[in-house]
Amino acid sequence: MWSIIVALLVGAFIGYFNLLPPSITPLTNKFTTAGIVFLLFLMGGQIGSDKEIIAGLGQMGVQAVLYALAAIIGSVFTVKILEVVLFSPPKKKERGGGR
Amino acid sequence: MTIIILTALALGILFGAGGLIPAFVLENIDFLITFTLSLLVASIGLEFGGNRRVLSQIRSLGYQVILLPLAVAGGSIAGSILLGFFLGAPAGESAAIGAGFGWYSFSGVMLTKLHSIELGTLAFLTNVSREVLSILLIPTVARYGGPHAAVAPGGATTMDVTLPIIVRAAGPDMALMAFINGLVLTILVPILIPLLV
Repeated sequence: MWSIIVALLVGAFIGYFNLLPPSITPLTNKFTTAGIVFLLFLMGGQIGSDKEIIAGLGQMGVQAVLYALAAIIGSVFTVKILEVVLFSPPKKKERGGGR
Repeated sequence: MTIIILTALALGILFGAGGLIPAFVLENIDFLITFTLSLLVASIGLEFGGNRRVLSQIRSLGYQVILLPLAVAGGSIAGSILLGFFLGAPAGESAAIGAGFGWYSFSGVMLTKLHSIELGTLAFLTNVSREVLSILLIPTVARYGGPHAAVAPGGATTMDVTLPIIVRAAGPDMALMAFINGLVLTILVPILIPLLV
């Protein structure tokens, strides 16, 4: 789905170089909200018209909590590793004999 | 915002279950979703690119400030893949669920579009759970894991929903770092999910 990444880059480009007229800029936030609401309505529509999904929601909920915990534990773990790598050994930034 | 999101989803489910969604919408649902999603992603890029103040703060704080969200991203994805292994789920699907980083509305919609309504629904539920569990767990993580670890659970939500909780639990020094963490992870969601799934 490269169209999504292209859309992201185009948006970032427009934003960075301020290519949008200032009168439109405050509207982007409202637009984002409206877009999300519309997409979730459509997603709900797809869930609602799919009996198997409705029936499987309970089991999916259990999996969801497990996935969420796995992601949280994993990220806390890697941040602790990062902390050790970055901050733990006495820093030897200035090497090479100095002046 | 949460109420609006849940209402929209609930209404959609009711309309869908009741067969109330017009046929022409269902026939063109793929186009409608692609079109809205592209515009939505473009406006996310727009906000990020237009936020020069944050971009310069990232530069002034140095490379370490980027390493934190990268570690959170890597850990979230690795944890999800590992769990998926035990649940018998394909690594790519598990990775994509984890790469929602707590941004449930967007990751749910995106995986519905890119993969299936099943995976999209699971991603939605997972990332709702991540936000709720983060709110509950951040104070404990901060106490035993320190201020940097306290930023990890919230994922992309550390720029808004969980920011005040992090500041309260880990101190005001973490505010900027948490904000940048959330911002970088937010921008990574639409990049990583299509690549992983």
